[in-house]
Amino acid sequence: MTQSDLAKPITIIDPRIRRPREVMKQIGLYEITGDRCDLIPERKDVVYWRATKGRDQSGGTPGQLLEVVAERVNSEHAQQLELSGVWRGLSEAVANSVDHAYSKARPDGFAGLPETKWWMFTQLRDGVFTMAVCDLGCGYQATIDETLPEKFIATFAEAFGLGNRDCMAIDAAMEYGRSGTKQDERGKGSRDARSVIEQHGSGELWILSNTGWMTYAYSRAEGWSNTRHALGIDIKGTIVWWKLPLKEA
Amino acid sequence: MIMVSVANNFTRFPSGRYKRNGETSGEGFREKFLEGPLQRGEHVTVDLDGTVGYGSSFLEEAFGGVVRSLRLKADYVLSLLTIKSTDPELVNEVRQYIVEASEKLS
Repeated sequence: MTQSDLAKPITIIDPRIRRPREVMKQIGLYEITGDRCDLIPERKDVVYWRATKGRDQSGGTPGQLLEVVAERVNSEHAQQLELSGVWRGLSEAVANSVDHAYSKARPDGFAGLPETKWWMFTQLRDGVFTMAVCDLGCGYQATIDETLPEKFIATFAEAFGLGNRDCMAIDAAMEYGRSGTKQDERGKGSRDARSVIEQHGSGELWILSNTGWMTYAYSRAEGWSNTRHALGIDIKGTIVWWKLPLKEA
Repeated sequence: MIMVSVANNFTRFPSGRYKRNGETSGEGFREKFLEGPLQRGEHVTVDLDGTVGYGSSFLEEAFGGVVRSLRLKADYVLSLLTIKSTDPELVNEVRQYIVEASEKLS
């Protein structure tokens, strides 16, 4: 007898009131019991963070979550969230996680989860919209030769000099997107990560990949600035993180 | 003349490059709506409005990809294809992908 032959041990009978349903959805109870709940938590007292996840790059799930959050942003703040700009960065980050992050084995042998390749988080709090896409893949450094032209990597590595190689790989991807060398039809997704901030007008993009952490800050008045850090630990994956400040209504 | 609205006929959430990685991809759109008409020499108008937005992978694979998959010249594709959008930068971006893909073929 297998587990699937056993009677379902627990079934949730949905509360009629929305708040407890949102709480149960938020803490993942429906996933544990295997019951279906399509509701997206949105009460402020239930959630700051909203999350979703997926195994492919189909746009419906992250897109619907983004629309819900954007509606709230736009009802509460004078500065609107430009959906098309945010979608450009978000969809490319998800596509990168699906298409590249698991294309090579991680050094510890972890090959990824069968049902989940990426996680997406959004938060609206204290006048800042935050969005992140994460994966547990092999990181920028392992796949950089798949996504960027070899000559570009060699030239960039020489200019980058000594330092954290994960930072170098992240920054090479950013620089390739920015300089638009157009040597290959792929590798443009990193440019889309920056365009989220540029279109919004100001904000920060953080990219953490294995042991490296690059931050890119932008304002229309001052342009782009970046910093590089060694994390000191290996996070065994990649996080692409945007922070967009919003003017109050 | 064939009219295609990405939002109404395909998806409001276009995302990603390859069909193997998801059903809302640029490759999927290209195969379903662009390759047949362009192969037959028919005019196609693609309306980009109404979606949540576009990433470059989707656009490049849909429009640059049709140049590669059918091995067409940019002039030929641009003579048959009309791109409609309230965002002129998006129209220029699509044209750029078509031209770049054609240049790489020659």
